[in-house]
Amino acid sequence: MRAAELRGPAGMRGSVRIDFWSVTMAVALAIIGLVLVWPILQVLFLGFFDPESKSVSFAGYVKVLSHPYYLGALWNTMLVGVGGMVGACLLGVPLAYCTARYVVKGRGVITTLAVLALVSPPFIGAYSWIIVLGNNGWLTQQMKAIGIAVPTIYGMAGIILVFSLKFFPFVYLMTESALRNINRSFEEAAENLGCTPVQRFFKVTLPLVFPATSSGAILCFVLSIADFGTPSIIGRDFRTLSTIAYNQYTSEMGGTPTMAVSISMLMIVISMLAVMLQRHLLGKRRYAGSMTNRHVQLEVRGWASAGIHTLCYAVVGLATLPIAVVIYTSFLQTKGPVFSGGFGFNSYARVIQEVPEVIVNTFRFSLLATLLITVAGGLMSYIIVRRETKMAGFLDSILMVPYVVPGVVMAIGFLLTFNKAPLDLVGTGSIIVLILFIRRLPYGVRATSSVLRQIKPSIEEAAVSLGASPAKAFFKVTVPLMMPGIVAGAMMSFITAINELSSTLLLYTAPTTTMPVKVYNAVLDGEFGIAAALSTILLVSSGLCVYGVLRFSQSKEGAFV
Amino acid sequence: MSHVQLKNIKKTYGSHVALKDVSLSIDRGSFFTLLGPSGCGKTTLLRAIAGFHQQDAGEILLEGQSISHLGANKRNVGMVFQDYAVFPHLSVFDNVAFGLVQQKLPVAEIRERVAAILATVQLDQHAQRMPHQLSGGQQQRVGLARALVIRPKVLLMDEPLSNLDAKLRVELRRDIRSLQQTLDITTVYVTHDQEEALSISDQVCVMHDGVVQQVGTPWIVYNRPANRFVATFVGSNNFLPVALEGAGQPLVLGQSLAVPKSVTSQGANGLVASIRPEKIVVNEALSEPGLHFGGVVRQAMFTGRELQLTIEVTGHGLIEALTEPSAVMIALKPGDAVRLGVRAEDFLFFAPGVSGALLQ
Repeated sequence: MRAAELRGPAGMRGSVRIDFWSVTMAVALAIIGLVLVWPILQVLFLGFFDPESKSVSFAGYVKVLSHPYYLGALWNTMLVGVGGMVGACLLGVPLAYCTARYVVKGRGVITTLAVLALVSPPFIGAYSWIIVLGNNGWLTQQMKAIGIAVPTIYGMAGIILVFSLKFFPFVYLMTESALRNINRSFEEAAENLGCTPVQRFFKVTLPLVFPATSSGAILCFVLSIADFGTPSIIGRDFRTLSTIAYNQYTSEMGGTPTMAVSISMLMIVISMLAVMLQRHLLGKRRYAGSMTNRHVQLEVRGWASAGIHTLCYAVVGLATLPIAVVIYTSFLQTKGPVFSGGFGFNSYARVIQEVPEVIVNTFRFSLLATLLITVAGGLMSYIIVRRETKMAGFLDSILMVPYVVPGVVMAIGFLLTFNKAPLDLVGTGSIIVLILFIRRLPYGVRATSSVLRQIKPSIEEAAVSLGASPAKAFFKVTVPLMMPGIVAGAMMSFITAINELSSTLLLYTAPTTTMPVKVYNAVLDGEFGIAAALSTILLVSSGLCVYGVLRFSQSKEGAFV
Repeated sequence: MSHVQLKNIKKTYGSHVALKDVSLSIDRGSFFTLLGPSGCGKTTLLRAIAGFHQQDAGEILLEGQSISHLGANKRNVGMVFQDYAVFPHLSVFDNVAFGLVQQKLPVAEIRERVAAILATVQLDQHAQRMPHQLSGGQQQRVGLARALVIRPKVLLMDEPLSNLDAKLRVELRRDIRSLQQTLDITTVYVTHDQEEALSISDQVCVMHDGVVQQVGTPWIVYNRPANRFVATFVGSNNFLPVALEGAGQPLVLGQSLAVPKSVTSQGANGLVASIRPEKIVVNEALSEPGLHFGGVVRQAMFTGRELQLTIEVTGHGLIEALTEPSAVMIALKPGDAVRLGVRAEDFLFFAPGVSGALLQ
């Protein structure tokens, strides 16, 4: 790479320089345009298309915003979104306060359990709770025996419960690190000025952690409204936008999916409004703090200590209960689809005999997607962090898009885009790899750019002034320093890729079935044994990656949020 | 002869003009310091020489050849960074060898040259250490060795001592200067510390608002500041208004003072006289012509080496004086009356305005 020689002559400001990074930039924009912008534009435009008159029309959107069926789903979606968010805060904030401010035994265990809950497949919560609290659930039966009627897990309450327990780790991890990073002097000053501990918490501590907590909360909201597996497994008649978008699309198959697309746009708009609301709330609230006065955790004894420990372990215990249930269930002896009592490896044997290809598929697709994310994410984060051009800023903003586009919507966009030559990818493994890639690319970019921001630019300038070309300086000096972050980011991408359901469910065909898809179908078919065995395989793989991330990432549990 | 030449360099960032038409000529083997407050353009200028950013207009010549079109990796200039920029994933040896490996030199030669330069900066014992095992001062020695080992045509240093504590700063400053003199390498050095600039340099270039204010030896810059900005920024100074009464003698502190012709010929109000605090004698008679005046001590600060006095001159505000801390002086308390004297020749005169020129 002889990039620097091609620099424009002195004084020619604004002239285009063809070097390694401008080529990379062009390639990056081309990829983003093809697999992100174009599919979403397809979704947007199709919503304005009337399939009967073949003309421009607002009918689809009008129907979505007026018909009771759709309005009901919209209302339900908002309910579970807000419910999941509030529930996550009610669990996450107190837990964060306890572990950040008091000596809690086994803090590492608590954090690890929270992270495990976070990275476990999103739908296992739903069906584990059916096993525990469903009509024939274990706890339901026990309670019935002693004459207590357990409220039903199906419907809104169940969905909110699952979302709260699934997504609270975001609020917990973000708030906890914010609490640790508040200079203790602020709280001491508040006390010195006459605040009681409770006043101090609400007047000083909470406002200071608000940026972090609200970021976590909005993330919970966006993920809750986009989630497909949970409402479709335990929602029953309680429909949300993501389940009806899926149903509409599958029923409109062959025709023009105007309704599915209109619902999709509505979901994107809601997510975007949520993210904008959060940005507005934060406004200029960026608190830079020097850490001269660190917090020490208070040692508490007796009842207070017992209360704090009970609270902490109860929260993470409940959150990881589905994991335990799934693993336990996977070792139950089965005969066909029914549990026949006792333990055994039947379910695993059936997985190996009947559907070995779904395991191979999942790992193959996920590894490929992770590889793409790692390479593209590393290069893109460099452009965003180090090249302060308008194009870099544009790339940064456009990478926000996948955060607010639900998986179902992205999948519909892909089906609309890659359905004709030369890009006829429908039904292939490539389309699944591509959607995993684009859905998780922003997370990969974020992981590497946070590492990159900690590497001083002067390090690279030193290499350049010693004679290395810009590209060589990047690969010889910056990449090795970024390596821990790149590895941690890749493992995170891999975890989310193997567990992806909401987009792949619309894209898979029999030969490209993945584990989450198989689990989902198995649950619907009542094949709980196979579902549990496959979920356990996913859990163990995710767990191993969590261990890897904790080893390679400097910020430890911070890497997960 | 001039080794590095800057011709009409201009650089703007948006609406902010960082460098306004800067031209400089730096002699071979000289230690040339860019001195100024933050935002004056000194680092921008240094980084333009290094090639880290392109100037908007102007030419940079090294040994008579333009290097403006060359990338930073082709300029063969050594750079020492404020934050050391020692590669944290490489050992001391590999850090220093980096530039030589880049030049694809034979391994034996690399070994030899790295060993030699590490001995010069007294790090030969630490060759296999990793950067995090070194102190800040040692890391900066690595940075220095790494820049010097490639035998650059020019050595550039961007506030290399500002992250170090005071004692280490003085020690490393001495080492840098003696190394520079031994190797006879042209050096461009950026600092905002005027004492550092005076003590280390052959030539000091004072910059302000993207404009070169003065280039001269430390002695000239201190004793003959080209304008009021330089007089204020380099060392401390007292500024006293000069009153011109008609065509009569100018008055300083209410007393008439013999001044150069160029001063009286200005004939306008707003002229200013300056006097360095250490030139003021306290409670002593002058043996040469000058001014005597009375005042009252407002504050006395003993710093070990000297005594800093803040004195209110009756009817004329506060002035600063530096004296030797003798037993008599130390006994001075706020409220004590003192007699002050200044030799006429120690006054400098400046044209009106905050950057008014020195009147010779």
